[in-house]
Amino acid sequence: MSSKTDPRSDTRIPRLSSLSALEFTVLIIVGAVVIVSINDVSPSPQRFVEGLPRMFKLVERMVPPNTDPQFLWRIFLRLVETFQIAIAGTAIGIALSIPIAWMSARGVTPLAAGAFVFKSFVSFFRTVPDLVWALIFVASVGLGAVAGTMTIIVDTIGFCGRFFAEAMEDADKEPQEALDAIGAGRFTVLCGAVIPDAMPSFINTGLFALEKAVRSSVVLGLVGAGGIGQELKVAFDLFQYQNASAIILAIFVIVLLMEHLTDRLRIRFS
Amino acid sequence: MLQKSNLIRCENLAKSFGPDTAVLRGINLDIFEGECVALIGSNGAGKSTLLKSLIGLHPLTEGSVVTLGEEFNALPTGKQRQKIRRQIGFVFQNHGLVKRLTALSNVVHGMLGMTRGWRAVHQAIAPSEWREAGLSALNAVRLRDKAATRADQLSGGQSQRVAIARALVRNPRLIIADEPAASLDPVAGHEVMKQFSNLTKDNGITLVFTSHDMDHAARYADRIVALKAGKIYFDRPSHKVSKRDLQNVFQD
Ligand SMILES: Nc1ncnc2c1ncn2[C@@H]1O[C@H](COP(=O)(O)OP(=O)(O)O)[C@@H](O)[C@H]1O
Ligand SMILES: [Mg+2]
Repeated sequence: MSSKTDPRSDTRIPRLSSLSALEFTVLIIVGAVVIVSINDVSPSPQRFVEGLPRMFKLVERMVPPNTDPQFLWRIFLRLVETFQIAIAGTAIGIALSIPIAWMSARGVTPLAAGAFVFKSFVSFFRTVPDLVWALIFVASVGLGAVAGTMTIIVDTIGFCGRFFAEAMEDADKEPQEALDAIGAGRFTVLCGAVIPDAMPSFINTGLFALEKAVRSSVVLGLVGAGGIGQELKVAFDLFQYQNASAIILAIFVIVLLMEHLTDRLRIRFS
Repeated sequence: MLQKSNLIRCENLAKSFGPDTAVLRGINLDIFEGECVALIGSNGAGKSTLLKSLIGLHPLTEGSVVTLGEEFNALPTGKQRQKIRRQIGFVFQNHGLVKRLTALSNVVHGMLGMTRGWRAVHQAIAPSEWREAGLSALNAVRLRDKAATRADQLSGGQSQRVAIARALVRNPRLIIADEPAASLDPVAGHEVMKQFSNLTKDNGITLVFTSHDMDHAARYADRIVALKAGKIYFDRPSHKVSKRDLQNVFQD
């Protein structure tokens, strides 16, 4: 095919595509920011080497994990509470997400112009991190599981509110038009055509929300919002490293189990 | 002057979707109670657009449509539009079934828009009279045994018949059907058209359907309205339409 082309002609194609002055400047600035940041906040080799023995020491003090039955029972109760926070928060969050998603979904919403208000709320819920919400709720309703559950609710609305609305927007338009043509109202079109069509996506999103909730409910205790995280914080604060390692192992097992379970459910429902 | 009452009256109707692209022009059309009217024309002649104009699915550019005594363009609220639409059955060209629901749920949907219509969103929560009505509508189109089958498992002809059953179940005064036989093979097409025209006749329902099949129009309609390039080309009782007339409709 290329018998006529001179094999050396590829030297005329520049190896690097040329950069404009602006692109070049941006590249330099990005490079400088990366180098300065590494210099400022990442561990220097010296610091790392100095820290290494202490890290080994910590691990050494962590083994063997505490297996005292009384302690394990307390951890188990805390794990149950963690699950309850995740499940209650996800369930309430999903229930609230459906009407909110309906209000904010383009072409499905009964509100003409007000939809963006709901969209903005959902974005706000999503962009503020869960630990910040937990701090806010601990400050307003006090320490404990209730603050944790409220955090998971808000977190779930931020997640499901967005993806439910997208699923509603993507639902098949033809049945919606057909029901509208025979005099069905907005709400009955939602229940009769939009939700059945979006259901697989709802289930998938809901399972992801549950998985996410289990993970966040584990750390919420660090700021006093209930669950297993609270025990972990106490263990570290009191230098009870054998307790800490037992708790970390328990968290590892529980999150792994949860992921396995939601994967199974996803396969079952898809 | 009119013996039979007039369900639809279009006066000087025009519709365009953008500047200088008139899809329909100067349409004057009356549909009388008890008639079976075929609207024929080649692809893009404006048949679907005209049908949608009849129930106010899009705003008119010019003229007026009075359907069941009300002018859609003069109705400000959705509620008032709903009141008229609930007396009409509309069968869409692509059927418009909810794919993940059963045939029965889709037929029961025909009751949406009635009083307490929200109970028609799914067959499981529908009042038993509505379920019975749904089953007998399915029976009428000979699909009773498919009641529990999901819509996405039905063949094209079966899905078309479910859409027809959804229109019949509300026992409307008027059914408007867009290409009810277009997606079917010739044998199934004739079967569906025969069932459809018999069922509407037996129940005293006025039927307006579109078709690009001259044979269907000639065989099943009392009256043929031909559309050509957005205008009415002729409008006559079907026994006064010759083969030649029909051929002219589809010729450029
Ligand atoms: N929503 C729309 N926007 C723009 N053009 C449209 C729209 N609907 C139909 N048309 C145009 O109107 C013309 C008539 O379409 P249609 O009424 O569907 O014809 P038919 O049903 O007779 O085949 C076509 O040229 C089509 O492209
Ligand atoms: Mg059409």
